[in-house]
Amino acid sequence: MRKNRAHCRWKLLFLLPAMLTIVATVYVPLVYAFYLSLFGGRGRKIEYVGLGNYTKLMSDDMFLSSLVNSFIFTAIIVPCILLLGCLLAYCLWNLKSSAAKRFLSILYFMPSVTSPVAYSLFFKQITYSDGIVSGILKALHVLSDESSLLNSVAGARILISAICVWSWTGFYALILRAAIDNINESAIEAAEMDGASTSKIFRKIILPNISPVLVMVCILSSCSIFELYTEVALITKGGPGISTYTMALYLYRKAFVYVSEFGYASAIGIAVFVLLILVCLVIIIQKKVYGNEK
Amino acid sequence: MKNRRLFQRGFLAFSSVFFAFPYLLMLLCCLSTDAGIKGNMLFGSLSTEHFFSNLSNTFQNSQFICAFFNSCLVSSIASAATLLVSSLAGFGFSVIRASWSKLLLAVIVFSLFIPEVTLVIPTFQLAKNMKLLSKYITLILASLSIPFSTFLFCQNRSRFPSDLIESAKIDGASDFCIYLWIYLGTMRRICVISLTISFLSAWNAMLMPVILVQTQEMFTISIYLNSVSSIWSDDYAILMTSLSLSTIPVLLVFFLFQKRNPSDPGFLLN
Repeated sequence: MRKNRAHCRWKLLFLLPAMLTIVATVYVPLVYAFYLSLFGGRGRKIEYVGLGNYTKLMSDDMFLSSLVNSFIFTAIIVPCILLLGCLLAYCLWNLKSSAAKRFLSILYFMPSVTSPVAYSLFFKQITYSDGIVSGILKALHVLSDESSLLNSVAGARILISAICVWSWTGFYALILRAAIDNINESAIEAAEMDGASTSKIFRKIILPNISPVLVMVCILSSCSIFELYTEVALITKGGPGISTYTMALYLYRKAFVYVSEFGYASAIGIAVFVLLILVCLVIIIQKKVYGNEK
Repeated sequence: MKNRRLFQRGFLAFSSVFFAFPYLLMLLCCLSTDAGIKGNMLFGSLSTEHFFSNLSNTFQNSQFICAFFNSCLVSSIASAATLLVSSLAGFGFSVIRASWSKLLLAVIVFSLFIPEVTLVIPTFQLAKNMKLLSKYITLILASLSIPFSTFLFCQNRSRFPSDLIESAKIDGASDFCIYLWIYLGTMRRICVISLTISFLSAWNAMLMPVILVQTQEMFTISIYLNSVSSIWSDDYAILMTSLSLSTIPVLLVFFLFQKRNPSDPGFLLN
């Protein structure tokens, strides 16, 4: 018995490096973030304010509007990703030729391995008033001559959403395709034999079977939207006005651009973390309730 | 039936254009000149000569070369370290049968839910207090993706059956030998996936490196491009060429470690 226990302790050494680095790079900073968020003031003049930063956060118009912006982005992006991802996954799954399957999968996956900085700068350049996309839109008379896509609130929001959809959908489509691959094929074949239409097979067999994966896609994509930083910081810089400001951008500006308010910025960070967990919980609970009704 | 197939083909073709369009446009920009891009004369100004002059101009920029080198160094070391540490942990989790090991695993998985945004300020403060800003070691530590990698190893535990451990033990192998010769061998596929993903995320990281690096010699490619875009927009052709070059290593790693057959489980990292 004693020897066994000593043996177990020796095996702990395998876990040690991973635990140490995770604690040092994630949990220590997390606790430190909470500690920092208890201090207010700017620059070097800091003082203990308790939970004062959080009450200030609740009445901060900039924070609240960036929160609203995140919800607007979620409302546009998540349905687009789900719809496009499901259709892509289904069409890919239905495709007979394996070469085409491979080529298309790689093509759809490529945006999610491309560097966000690189594609953000690229999209910024082509949507500037002298960029290529602006030129095309002007030729089609969608845009007036003097303006650019980034000057209008709706234009900027649609642009950011379109870029996110472009870069994330491929990844989720492949996850969904793997889920469809795992469905028992005989059920689908039987339905086909009985003369069920494609849309009926899709609604009655495929969708219920991949619904756990759909929930996961919802959670993952809304998490990424709440953390959205690179695209907004590089393309719109939060503008026009504050219509594309996100919480991450606000945090960065508070801490590193204006007179640094590290305490307040940490409070924003903790708020983002709490919000993320709340969003995940809401999605999971809603799914459970909905599932029970059925 | 025919309509259905037509719709599918059409949809796939349409979405291929949607996904490929930016890449094509980027390549065209590399073949053009600054004036061509700015004056909406892209198709009139294409030639391979412009491409080579753009390329040589990009490579004459010592900052770009330096940033590129830094990114290569940091991403390779970070992905190698991630692989080493997380495979050790994965092995530990499949050997230790105690109930508290589940708790440790939960601690690791929970850290996946903590957003990077939350950790930015405290990491900056800690690095500043320890005088570790603008050092390779900080960049590497910030680029590790151990939680996800460990999760990946644990999720695929079933590939490493306990019979293998038992028989190796009967043959007198030590734990470390089992890890080195049997575990890494049976988990080869997972190792490759973990290496690819950690390289990709280290190369593409933006928020953490930006705050942790303050001197120009330590810039990674993301920070370099970010800084260049805000001060220097006079030559779009060169900017586009640097953008395309900066995505090449990632795509290279991605294609290199790709499974050939789409019906394989390891295809495209899922």
